[in-house]
Amino acid sequence: MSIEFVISDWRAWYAGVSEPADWQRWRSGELKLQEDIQADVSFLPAMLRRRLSPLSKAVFNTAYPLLQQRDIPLLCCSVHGEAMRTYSLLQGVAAGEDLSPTAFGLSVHNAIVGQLSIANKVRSPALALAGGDYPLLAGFMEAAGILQEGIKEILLIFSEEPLPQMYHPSAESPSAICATALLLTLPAEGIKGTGVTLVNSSSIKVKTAFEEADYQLALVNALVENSGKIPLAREWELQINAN
Amino acid sequence: MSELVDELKTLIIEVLNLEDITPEDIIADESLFGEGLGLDSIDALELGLALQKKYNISIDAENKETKSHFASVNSLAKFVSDSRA
Repeated sequence: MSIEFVISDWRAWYAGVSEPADWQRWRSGELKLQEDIQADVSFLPAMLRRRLSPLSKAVFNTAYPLLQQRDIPLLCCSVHGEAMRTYSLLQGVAAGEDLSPTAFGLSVHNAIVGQLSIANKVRSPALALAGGDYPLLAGFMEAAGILQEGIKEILLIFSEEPLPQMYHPSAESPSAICATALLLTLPAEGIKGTGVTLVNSSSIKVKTAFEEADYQLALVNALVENSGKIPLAREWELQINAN
Repeated sequence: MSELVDELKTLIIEVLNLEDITPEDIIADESLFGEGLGLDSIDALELGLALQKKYNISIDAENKETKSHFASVNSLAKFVSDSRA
């Protein structure tokens, strides 16, 4: 079984690398990743920007330029979501403090996609997905379902941030904030872009996407190369420009 | 009272992350919500919580007068100073 898509455009943000040309330089080793840097969202109004966490800034930095104010469905996948916000709320609960209504409202799993839809005046469905151990597979599967229903184009977003130290013995997370946004359509006459195939293959053995902690980097790497195979889960892989 | 007004302006900027705004930008008798500064309902909750914490005053969300207390920095200052007295 296989499902084909076309990525008509994409953006990714990871440790200061964001523009397509920068990703080429990163791939060729010319550009080093930076620590302690936040994604640029200076294009947003200050009253909107003030509520964005470092993770949601990375999402806005990737998704906003691709949307260009268009009203298309949004699908936001993240295993842990706003983990840092949730953790600091839990610390507040443990200390018996009153919780910040803003932090509480923005800690829920669909907070980022909600803010993105408000900022872009998107009235199409905006969906937040966790995806368990296989966020890439879950995201592409869900996207396939939405596109099969007749939706022409969706924005598929993956985002993760490192979990607080306390969770490290029991859960996997990436080493730095990372967000990837893909403009996705089904193949059709006149649709240009990168061909992507979700392939069911018995030879693929992956226990969790976090076997490679920064699971989005494998995808970004293949997109920069314009070819490659990314194992997603047990018996599933993603092939870039296989045809 | 003017000391309290300045203190409230700084508090508003801090708790609501108004990164591009200085205390001088906030006009004390101008509307905080909607028109004017443009704060929203979540800001009202956040601000209420901060006032309760900082000045140890209680705010009754059911009380109809509460809305008028939050109209401007001046009205907030009067409310805080009356509540503390």
